[in-house]
Amino acid sequence: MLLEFQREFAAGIAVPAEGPMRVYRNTVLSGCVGALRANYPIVARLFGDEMFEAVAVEYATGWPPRDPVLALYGARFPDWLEEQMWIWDVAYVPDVARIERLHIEALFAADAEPLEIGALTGPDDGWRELRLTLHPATRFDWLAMPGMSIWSAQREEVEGELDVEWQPEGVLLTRPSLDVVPMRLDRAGHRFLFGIRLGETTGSAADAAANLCSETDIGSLFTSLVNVGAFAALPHRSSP
Amino acid sequence: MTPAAGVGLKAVHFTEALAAPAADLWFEVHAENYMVAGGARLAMLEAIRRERPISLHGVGMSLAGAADPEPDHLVALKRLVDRFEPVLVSEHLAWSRLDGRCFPDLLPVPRTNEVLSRLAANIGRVQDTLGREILIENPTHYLALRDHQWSETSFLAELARRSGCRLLIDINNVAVGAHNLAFDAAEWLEAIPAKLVGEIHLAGHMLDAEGTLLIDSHDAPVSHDVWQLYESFIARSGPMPTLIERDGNLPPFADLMAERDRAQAVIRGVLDVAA
Repeated sequence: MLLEFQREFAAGIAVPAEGPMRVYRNTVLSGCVGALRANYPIVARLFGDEMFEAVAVEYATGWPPRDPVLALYGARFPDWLEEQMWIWDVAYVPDVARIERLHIEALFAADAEPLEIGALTGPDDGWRELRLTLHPATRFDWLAMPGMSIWSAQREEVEGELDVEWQPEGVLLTRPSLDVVPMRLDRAGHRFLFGIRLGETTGSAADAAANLCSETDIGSLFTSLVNVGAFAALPHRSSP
Repeated sequence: MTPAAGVGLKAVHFTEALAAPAADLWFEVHAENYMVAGGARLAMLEAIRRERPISLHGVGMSLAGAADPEPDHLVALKRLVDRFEPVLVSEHLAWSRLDGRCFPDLLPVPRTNEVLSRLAANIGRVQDTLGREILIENPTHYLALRDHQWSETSFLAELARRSGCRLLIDINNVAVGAHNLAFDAAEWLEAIPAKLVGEIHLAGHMLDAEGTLLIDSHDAPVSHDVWQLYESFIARSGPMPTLIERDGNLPPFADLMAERDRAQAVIRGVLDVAA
């Protein structure tokens, strides 16, 4: 009986309604829209309030929350945006949304100590044999659009026309402490992190990155990645 | 703890909340907002918890649903309770989960014997998992449901008797429901056994666009009629932990503290009479 009641009630608020049912429908939708607005603030700004709300209601209708924790709601939003016919007019928005998704995941990821450059002592080439672990907050991707440039400019509220090179970009976001730190990646940087995620040694990942992108200085790339907090601290070795 | 008045904690008020000097001040947060692995939000709550008691108020357990509580959600709540050692833990007499989807709302149920058994069983599971008593909040009413087999006050009292939970009485919910479904809020409150009540919520409401229904919007100061109902309730029940809830249209922290101090004065008044 209770299950039938719930299903009937859910059907009643799934479509536009009047009176009390409208109150419930509005609360459910505004909860979803509010969560999407919190998780995709730059997309919301690019669309403007009215359009974002319409888009968010449509997404929430097709992809409602599956968890009461809304801090990570909207995982499919970037891909869903890309599937919409009208997105062709603003084809860079899905990649901006992908960065916002990585940002929110980094924001709420587990805390951990980042690897410090000083921890990498030993023989000159000793670092090549290491198998590093990505920091739990580290998120990276390779994007067809310069989403990172647009995202950064919007975050800093840069006025006027965007001066963006329309080419693919790599993006890294991590959170060594409380604040999320972004970093732009070239193909070498992306390949290096990809290798580490696969479990390659630092040396193998560096060689593969160098082969892909000969102009990149792999040593300084590695230092930058360590300094931004991309890797977790080395596990403490137990004394022999 | 001595019953005192608290404020719903919002991230924008964090610095002022941490520095607030008021004696016996406590804070309440929505448990689901903190069910994340790490980051600044949890660090903020840690900092508040070092200074103040906190209360965890769940909105997503779907206790009045036909299904058992979701195991992952129970584990997440247990982890928060173990970490933050809240002075109060509460949830709602509502459902918000069905067939794999979640509704960010507190949806109503008819007060039938079936629902009573379901609720008591689900509350029992939560209490067994947490190893402590929880408080259950009375719902806001917009819709006159058919098929009720119990009055609301007797249903709540029986639920507390069967499950061992106590009640969180949201007086704004009573006032809103009384307006929308045409019952007497003062009579409703008089029918609630004070010994079953562990916390009071006070909040503001608004009239909907059509001008017919009151909405439990939490976006305005506590209304005059809710203050009156509160004063009468406390005069009868004695002091109760009381929370000022505000979720929308957030005013400066000082405005919320002024409402909090008013509730504290009501509690103080009863304590002084008793002393």
